[in-house]
Amino acid sequence: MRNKLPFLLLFFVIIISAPFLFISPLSEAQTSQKPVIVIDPGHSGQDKSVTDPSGLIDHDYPNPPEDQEVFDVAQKVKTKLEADGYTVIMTKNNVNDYVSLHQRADIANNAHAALAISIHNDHGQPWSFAQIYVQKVGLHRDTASGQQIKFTDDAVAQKSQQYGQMFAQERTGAEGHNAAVTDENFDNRPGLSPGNIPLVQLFAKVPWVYNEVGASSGYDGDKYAQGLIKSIEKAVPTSGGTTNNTNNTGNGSAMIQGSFDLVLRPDPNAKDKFVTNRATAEVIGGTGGDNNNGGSNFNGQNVPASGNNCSGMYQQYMSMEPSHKNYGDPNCELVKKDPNGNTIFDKDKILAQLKQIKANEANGWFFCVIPNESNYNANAYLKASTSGKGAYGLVQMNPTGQGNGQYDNGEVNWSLQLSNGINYNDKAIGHSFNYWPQSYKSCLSKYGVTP
Amino acid sequence: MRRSKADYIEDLIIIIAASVLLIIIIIVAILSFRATAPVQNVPAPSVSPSIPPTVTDRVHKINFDNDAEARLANRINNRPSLAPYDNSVKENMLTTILHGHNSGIVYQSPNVRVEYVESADIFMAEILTTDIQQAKDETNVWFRDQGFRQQAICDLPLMFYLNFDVLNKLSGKNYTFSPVPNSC
Repeated sequence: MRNKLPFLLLFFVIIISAPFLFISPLSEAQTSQKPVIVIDPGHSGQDKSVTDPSGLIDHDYPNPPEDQEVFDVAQKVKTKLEADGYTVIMTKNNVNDYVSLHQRADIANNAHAALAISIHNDHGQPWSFAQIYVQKVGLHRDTASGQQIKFTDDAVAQKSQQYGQMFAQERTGAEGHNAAVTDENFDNRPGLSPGNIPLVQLFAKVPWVYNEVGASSGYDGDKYAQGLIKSIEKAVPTSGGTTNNTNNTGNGSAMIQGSFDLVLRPDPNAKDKFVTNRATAEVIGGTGGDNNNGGSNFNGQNVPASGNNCSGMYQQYMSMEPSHKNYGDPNCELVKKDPNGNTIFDKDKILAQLKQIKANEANGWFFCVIPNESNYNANAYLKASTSGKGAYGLVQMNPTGQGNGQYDNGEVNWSLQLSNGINYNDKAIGHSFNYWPQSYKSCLSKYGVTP
Repeated sequence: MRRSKADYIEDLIIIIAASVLLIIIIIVAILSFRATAPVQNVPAPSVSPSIPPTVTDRVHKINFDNDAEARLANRINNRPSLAPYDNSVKENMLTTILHGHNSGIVYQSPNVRVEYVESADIFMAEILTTDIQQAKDETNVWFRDQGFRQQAICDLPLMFYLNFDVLNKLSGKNYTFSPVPNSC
């Protein structure tokens, strides 16, 4: 009798390979029917700023209550999309996770997402503020040395713009106000690289639509979620979805209007085709760099001092300060007229800027430090400072080039004064607030800022 | 029964075929699992501060009433609701003086300048005189004249701070300043 071992071995191999030969390809095909959507709820649980290999500042931070609100919206969108047959990946698993902006983009890139969306809201704006940012070739962010890192992938940009229009239409309908596609502006925002495209979109190799809505009054997270769900389902329908097309073909016959199911099956005779989308970023050039009066412009940009006293609001201190210049608000950004024509300092703008720089400490600086240091006057000057060099600006720091390191500089424009104060406290004196009177510490602690 | 050489060759071919098939299956399985592996979040890079702290002492200008600061912060953080009557007074006042919820000055005199700050929804009063009590009393009277009840003035909230020059004049005189109206 013949040895049966080889036949048994062959039988065994066929048995164990059957699932891979027949079941696995089918499963893969079924999986491929599910479009992958990446949802990016805005902000991180930690305030971290790292320099990306591109040279851009990758800075994210907690921004309560936005963090929790947009995470809730993201969860609603995820639940509905998964029920409707999508594969959904979140860039954060918990509201307080820290994931850098580049890592968020990589999550979408690695998943080869059909679409990625960012969800944000803005507590400095009313509900009617509804904006959508899309990828466009030429949008850029600038490194500290002035190099422009531009978005260059035309195919991805076209899809992003196409999807952005759908988001505008669907969000307008769901939210009950006009949602518009526009460009973001990161210029003069301390702690962030200047430019006009969110970093997640710049680093992404997939279509990415970035959403904002106002939340200072009338905010409705359910409507926001509904608008996003409808937008995604319109932009990237599932295979079992419905399509409507009433366009004429041009030969007099109308296109078929209706719905269809599409099932993908492997074709054993077809060769695999791989299509790779790659976004590239290149240094186009740049100008400038440090453009202040000699002080630090790290995490912000200074504006040269002017002789403008801004309707007299800065005259008192300009006459006292040795240079007699307006260093704190040279373009009068912080001076405005109220409805009755009174000239006032724009405290709303100071608070908004603090929230941009470090949201969880904004109230502490706004209610405890700034009123007592400068009365919100960006040109406040005290000759008799403890350093003997004079105290300058909103948080009363040393003059340019005479302080303790790069951040101890108040003789710069107002936004840089704020970031210098926060950076000096965080990075030079271990968040002790010891640069300022000890008597502020009790007040700060009441706003959750513990030195 | 003795096996022939042909039988051995046949067995060998079957074994080789089975082995090749097994290797192919393993490779396909590995590639398949790699393609469908779940996406993992990249661990966050750790940033450890390396700058040694340098402390600069500043003049302890004035003292602050810590309890009063706590009461103000509590109102700012937790926002007690105004009674309907007081809320209507507030809305009417903002509409009349500032034409709606806009930031701007609602009252000013040589002693005090009261401003509504829309984004913080707070009334901030800058005291322009070293006679702090007079400035506070004057402000309180003005709010009462608008129709507010006393508790509502506290809950608006209303915050006082010292003008830069006034602060410097009081500096070093061991003055204790409260940022809220006396009755709050």
